[in-house]
Amino acid sequence: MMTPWTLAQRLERVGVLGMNARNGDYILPNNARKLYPLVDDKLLTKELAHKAGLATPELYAAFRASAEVRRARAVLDKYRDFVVKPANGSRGNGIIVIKGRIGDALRLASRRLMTWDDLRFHMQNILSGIYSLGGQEDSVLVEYCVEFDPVFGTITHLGVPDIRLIAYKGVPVMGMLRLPTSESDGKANLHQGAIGAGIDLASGRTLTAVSRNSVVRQHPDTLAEVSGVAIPHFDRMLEIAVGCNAMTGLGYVGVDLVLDRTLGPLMLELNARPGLNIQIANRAGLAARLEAVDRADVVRRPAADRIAFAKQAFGAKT
Amino acid sequence: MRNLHVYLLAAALAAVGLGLAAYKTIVVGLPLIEKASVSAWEVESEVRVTANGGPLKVSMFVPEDSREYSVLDERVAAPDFGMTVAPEGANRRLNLTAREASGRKVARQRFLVHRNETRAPDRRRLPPFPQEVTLPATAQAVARTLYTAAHAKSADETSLVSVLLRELISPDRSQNVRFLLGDDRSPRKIATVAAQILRVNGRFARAVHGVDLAKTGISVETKSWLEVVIGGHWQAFSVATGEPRIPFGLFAWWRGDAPFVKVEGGKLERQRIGVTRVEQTVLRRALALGKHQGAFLTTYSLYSLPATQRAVFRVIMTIPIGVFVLVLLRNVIGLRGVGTFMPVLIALSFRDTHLLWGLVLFSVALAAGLIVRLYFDHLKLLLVARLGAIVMFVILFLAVVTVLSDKLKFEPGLSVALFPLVILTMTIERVSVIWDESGPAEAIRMAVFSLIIAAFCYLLMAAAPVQHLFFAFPELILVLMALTLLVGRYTGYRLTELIRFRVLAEPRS
Repeated sequence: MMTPWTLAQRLERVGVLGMNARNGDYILPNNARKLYPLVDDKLLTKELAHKAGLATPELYAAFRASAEVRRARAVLDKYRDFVVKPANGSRGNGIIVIKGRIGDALRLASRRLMTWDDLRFHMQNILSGIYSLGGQEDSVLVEYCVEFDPVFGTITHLGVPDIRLIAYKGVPVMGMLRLPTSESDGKANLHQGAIGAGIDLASGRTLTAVSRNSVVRQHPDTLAEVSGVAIPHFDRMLEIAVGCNAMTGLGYVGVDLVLDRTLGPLMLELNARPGLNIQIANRAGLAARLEAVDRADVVRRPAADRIAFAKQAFGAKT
Repeated sequence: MRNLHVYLLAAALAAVGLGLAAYKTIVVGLPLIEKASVSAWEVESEVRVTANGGPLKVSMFVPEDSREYSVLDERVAAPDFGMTVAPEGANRRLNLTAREASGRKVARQRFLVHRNETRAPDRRRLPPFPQEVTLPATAQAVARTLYTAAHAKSADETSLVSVLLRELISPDRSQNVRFLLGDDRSPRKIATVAAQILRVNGRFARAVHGVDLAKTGISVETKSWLEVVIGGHWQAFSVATGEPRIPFGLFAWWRGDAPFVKVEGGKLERQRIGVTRVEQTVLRRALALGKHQGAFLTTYSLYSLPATQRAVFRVIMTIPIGVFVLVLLRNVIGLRGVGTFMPVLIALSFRDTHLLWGLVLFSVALAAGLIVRLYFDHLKLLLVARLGAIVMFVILFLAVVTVLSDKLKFEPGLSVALFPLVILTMTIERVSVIWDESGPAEAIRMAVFSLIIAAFCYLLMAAAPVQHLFFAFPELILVLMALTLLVGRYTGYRLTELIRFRVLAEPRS
């Protein structure tokens, strides 16, 4: 049993970033509070990304007032599959995934059925702020339903796997592949039991994986190996991630991406206060990498140079 | 740079806070412990006269503050008299007058004597020159002889006075001494004569009269000693030993040769001085002294507020300590309860009910509220309406609890009248949000944890020593603020993070 003091010293040596240091040394100085709405409101994020030329799931419709919801069927009937989500939702609450029709009814990804009336009621609820954290009024977002890449077919359960990249001052510093499990109920949130696999920034291959706080090799539902999986288009993902710093003005940002089988990497949402569990998935410390970025003085160089620096400095040593 | 700024600010705040607190304990005398007590003396003088039937004038001396003692709470009880206080030489004289008085009259004065924590500046004035010399010519000649003899036997001014006094009190008295003293060998007479001899020889000197606070009783004898100006200061000499010091505890009342009481138009029947020792808290004394001396820090302290506001501020001033505990728990330990400072507010609500019943009531109300909240959730109500409905439910719940407590004669149940409803409602709301987001296990864990923190904060904030400390020394909040600023720049690991990230500290397998 290590004393708390020696434990703290070892973590310090590995360069593990703690909550206080993340908030005090990286978020407060680099992420201006006034920029938060850009990432909290997914509609704003989408508009920004569109202007910056970063691919996101196509926006089919946005409803900002109760009256508009009445036209939902007229607007959406032409799309077979789509996703309905609250613009200011958190933790995947209030998201409905529609996959096709059976007669007049909408078919959900969870294989249940829903009428258009049910959907409109759900949208009204979103507008009233039920899913937004502060309870303030919200808007409804309807967007393209991602068909995830077959490479993840055997290592996910019920949900869409996503890739979290942390970009610091235009340099990608760490990445993680999040795989939903039956325990996480299809959500890609590590708190709720999803698996997190670290990603080698140089090769785009998954490293070790963690479930809750223990190291795992196989997906608990499919028993497929989760380490060593090569993520397609990983370089493009790195480009998107570093673009998000410039696009939002946030110096320290978590970028969530999905990999569509036909459209490739799509930026899903941004996070101004990305979690620290990514360190456990990678078995590496963030502070060490953030300090390396500050030391290397690559911040003003072109994006390609910054990505090359990250691959060289943070890639797995073979 | 940022850290340096914070450190400097914190150091400045802590220095101001601790400095003020130290000043207030050491100089003003505010005690760190509320119940600390100290002795004071209640001194009473009573004068009985029989009036002749015409105008009556009774006068007596009233004491003034000295370097060692402060005189507080002066009261005069003289029902049939008009009253004035006027300076007279080095003294103040209380004049009681009546146009027509007959029969027995009683006048009393009473005051509290406090020993000063630190010696006050010397306010005794040097007398104007020339001094009053009342001795007849022959006596003056004798006085000069005695003085010259003492002068010859002494080395300096102090020893001169000592030699002279020893000459006066020695048992085998010389002719000259007997001429001046007569048969009266009381200290009072000796002090008076010594002062006269010195004055005849051009020195500033006077007899001082007062009481020995160490000797208490209903009727105590007055003490006398001598004061002589030496080196520009009044120096006291004991007339019992002739030494240039007087026993600890002598309290000067009046100075000069005049008698304590003067009566015109009547006959002095009896005069009496009583001294009683009274215990007083250090706090009361400090406040009384501060008020008496017009000290800024006591005049503008929380103690100067009306009683109701004082009671409120006794509570308010402890909130920072609870807040600081939460800051530590969150940023250094890494534990958090419901809401940012909700546990402190819950702790405040325990004040009405006390801890155990407060915990029970809060838990039951929280559980009931949660059930209703989860049911309302099912109805998909808008936030403010939902909160409003929960407030109403909480009020009804508390009303039922109170009525039932009354019927069952359960005393503590009646204390919930002002149990803060809004705090309860907000807690229910926060817990149910956590329930939605992280599941029931996490919500219950958070609720229980919040109650534990709240109980801890309550014990801390309700502790009488803590309340006294922050009420008497509000500047200690500056010290807490300094510590909070330091925690605000603490970027090390939280204790819980050591457990969370411990896998990273292990060597790679």
